[in-house]
Amino acid sequence: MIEIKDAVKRFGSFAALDGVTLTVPQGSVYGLVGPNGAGKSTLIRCLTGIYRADAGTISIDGGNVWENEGLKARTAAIPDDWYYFPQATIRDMCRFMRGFYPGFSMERYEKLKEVFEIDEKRALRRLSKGMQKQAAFWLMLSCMPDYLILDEPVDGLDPVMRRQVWSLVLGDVAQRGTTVLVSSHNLRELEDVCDHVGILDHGRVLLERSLAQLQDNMVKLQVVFRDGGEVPADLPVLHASRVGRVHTLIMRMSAGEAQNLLSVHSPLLVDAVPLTLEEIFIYELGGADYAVKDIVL
Amino acid sequence: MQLKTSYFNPTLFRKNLMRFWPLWGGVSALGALAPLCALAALIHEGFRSHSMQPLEMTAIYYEVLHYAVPIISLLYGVLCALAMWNYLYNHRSVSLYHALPITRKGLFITNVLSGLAMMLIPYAVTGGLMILISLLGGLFEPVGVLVTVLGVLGLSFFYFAAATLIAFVTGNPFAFAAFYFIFHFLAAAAEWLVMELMSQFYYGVSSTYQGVLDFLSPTVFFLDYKGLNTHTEFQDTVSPDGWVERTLESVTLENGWVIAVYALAGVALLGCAWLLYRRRRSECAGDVVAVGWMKPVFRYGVALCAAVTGGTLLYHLFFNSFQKGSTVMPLPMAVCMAAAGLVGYYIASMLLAKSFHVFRGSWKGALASVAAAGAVCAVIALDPAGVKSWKPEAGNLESVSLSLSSDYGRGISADIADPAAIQKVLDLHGAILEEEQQLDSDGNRYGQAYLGYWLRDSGQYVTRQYSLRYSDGLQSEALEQLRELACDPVVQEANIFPLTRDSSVTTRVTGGYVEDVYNSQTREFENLELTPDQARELEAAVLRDIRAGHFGKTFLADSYEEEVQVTCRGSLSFYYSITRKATGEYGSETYGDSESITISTYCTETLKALEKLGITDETHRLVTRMEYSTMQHANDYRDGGWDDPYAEEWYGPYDAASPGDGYVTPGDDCVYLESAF
Repeated sequence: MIEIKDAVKRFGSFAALDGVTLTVPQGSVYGLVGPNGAGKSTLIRCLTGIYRADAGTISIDGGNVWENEGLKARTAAIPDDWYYFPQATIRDMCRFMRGFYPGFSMERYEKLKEVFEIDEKRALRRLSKGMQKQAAFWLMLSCMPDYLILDEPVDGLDPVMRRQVWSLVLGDVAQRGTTVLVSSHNLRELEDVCDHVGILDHGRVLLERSLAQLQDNMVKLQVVFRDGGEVPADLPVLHASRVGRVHTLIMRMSAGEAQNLLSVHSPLLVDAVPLTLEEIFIYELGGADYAVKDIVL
Repeated sequence: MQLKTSYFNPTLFRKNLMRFWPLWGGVSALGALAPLCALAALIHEGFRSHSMQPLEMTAIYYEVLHYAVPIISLLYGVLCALAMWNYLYNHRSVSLYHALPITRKGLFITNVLSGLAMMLIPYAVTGGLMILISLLGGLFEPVGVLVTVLGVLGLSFFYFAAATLIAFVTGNPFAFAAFYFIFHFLAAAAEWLVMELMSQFYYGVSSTYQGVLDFLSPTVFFLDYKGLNTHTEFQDTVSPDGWVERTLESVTLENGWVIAVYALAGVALLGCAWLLYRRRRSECAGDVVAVGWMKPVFRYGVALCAAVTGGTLLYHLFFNSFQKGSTVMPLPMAVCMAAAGLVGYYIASMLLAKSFHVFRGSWKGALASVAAAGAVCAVIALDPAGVKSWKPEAGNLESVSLSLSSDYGRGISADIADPAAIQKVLDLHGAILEEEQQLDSDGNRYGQAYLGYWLRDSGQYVTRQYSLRYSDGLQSEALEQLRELACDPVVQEANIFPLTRDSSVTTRVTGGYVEDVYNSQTREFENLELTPDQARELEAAVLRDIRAGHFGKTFLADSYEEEVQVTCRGSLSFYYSITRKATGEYGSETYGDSESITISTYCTETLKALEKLGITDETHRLVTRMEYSTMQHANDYRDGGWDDPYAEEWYGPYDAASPGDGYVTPGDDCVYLESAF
């Protein structure tokens, strides 16, 4: 289990992490979402022992991550801008990683060779960005990590390879109980793979729930009021839109509570529609002054 | 939960060496050229038939250790350290390294060992080949090899440790290289800057580099005589046919312990580097200064250096022409230093911020820089340490090196240890300080007094160099002292006979000659050889003149005319057979040398001796320089030899149509030696 409690990380006077607290349950796939500059990459760097938090605790399995060789050996990370030695091939990097990760499996490396189909003797710098990303997955999955930390992992991969990579990651989660923390802006994709989501904004966690809880906590309703009436003012609506007589309302409550509230107004039609993660993200952050602005240019 | 800790990672070690093989491989290849050249020479001479001795190889090793290894290690050390720690300067690479399952201690130890291995591989290749060739040529000398190996190890370790420390001070490869060389030469440069600044403020304080802090600039220290030194001892054997054959008896590396001290300092530097690495923030990759508390040091350090160097430059650009005397005007200098300090402050701020937008809200720091520059200027101008007025105690002086020059008289250089003469030097020093205003003015007369003091208590050599610019006819105690010192027998004896006063040699006059004796019959100048007896007699006469104060009388001559009227064109030269006593370093040896003495009409004892010895008589005369000038003019000598630039001014225009004796009558305008007595 990954536990982060009141983590603070400052760069000069700017607090990139301002008391972050989140928990990634063992064997879960945790999606870390948030706007640009929310502190996701900083949090991941703290979690992988690159940055040292100025305050708070960052632990994996109860152990502090900082300078913990044993924990790092069980953790593999793929940053957004993965570094490789300028002259190195995948095979070179494999030899390098083997020297650090005691659990590195050559058997798996050989198996993954068939998946990724990249010439392992080609210099990494000569590969495309997507192929470099594949190489990173190839090597990191060969490390057989208990914890996999991914920052914008499938950025640059084609749709087939994305599905392939997620299939491998989820396979690890299912078979080996790997815990995955993934930061991404691709909410549609996260929705498919994550079972837990945390939303980070301005260095703080806005909310952290399982995807099911998250979807239970917010509801999207299609409502038709009698006589084509407007949305009653007393309803706690986060967002409302109208197409013809049909109002689409988004409210921060469960579907049952929303329907009870609406029943007072005797609507002709009330239909609960599942919210996408993207909608949850947008409307949660809308409450945190991060709304889509209607600017006419 | 700490599962496992390791302090050395063989994979990283291998990777480091493999990644940077072109660096150590290239340097090894360059280093291998030296032994290969030696091999070629041996092949050319034929193995075993060469005349070299094993100890000569040791001497070569020590010379290499003394001069080449510090410079090579200085340059190669920075490259090795840069290769090892370059990952700290890039956000992506530092993320990879610090996310790896290895502690910083493990990274540090592994990288230090990799770097040291890279440092030593070229030396091992070069040294190994050299040893092999020595063995082949029968030149192997194990002690020299061992000392050299230890020396190379110590120096390599020190330079790599120093570079490693600097690597953690910064987060930028360019700043790393700059800081590394600043670190190695800062003390020497700072001393030079301070001396230069003081020489501009204080009359007589010269900017001569003393090297007091050389030990903090190791490369300077190693290359200097104070650092390493090769001591050789020879055994002279005389062969039956009279040839002296010199054999190298022993070679020792003097001050070799200094390397051990620097190696220990290297351990301390590595310790500091480790402390910095432990606390280093990965996010400082790219920063000019990576250590928080060093940022103000850098900012104000740059401001101060800019104030001193830039301030001096600005002053000389804008205020030099307004200056009276040799020292700067404090107020304009303070303005220039403040302006330059301000520029330095903002340059440093821009480097630290990696941005040009540093002006907003920076007025406090800027003001502090300006105030500091002004304060430095004020403190130096007020001279609280009394540098300007410093004069040593007579009892604390081992000896004094004196060098006096004037616009018309002949220069005097002497090393003196005689207490009475030293007191005269101190009196002169005091008088010059008293009369600074008159002696450091815009006058038409020029002189210089260089006073070098060997201090007994500290062993230091402290100099003062007074440029004298004064007006004609100045009544000055200092000038009187200077005149007296110029005629002082001790000073003049040291000036005229430096060879015979050297306590490490014994001298014997073996002959000599008198140069440019005028023969009135042939109307030519002749050089007359002296027999040993004549030379000895003349040497005694010169000494009598010295003791009578006849030498140096023209030192502060009031005019060029006065000087040339009494100074002889001809000179005396003595040949000496000099035997140097045997010392540990050198065997005894005998060699020849000579002294040349310019005499004047004041040297009555010498002139009488010349007459007595029959060297000068009715037809053979020594002529003064003025006489010569007149004769040259009258006898159409203009095309040959010395061309007096003042001749026409004094004797009228030369008329080519009427050359010969009738043009200028000898005796009308010139003074012959006879009439001068």
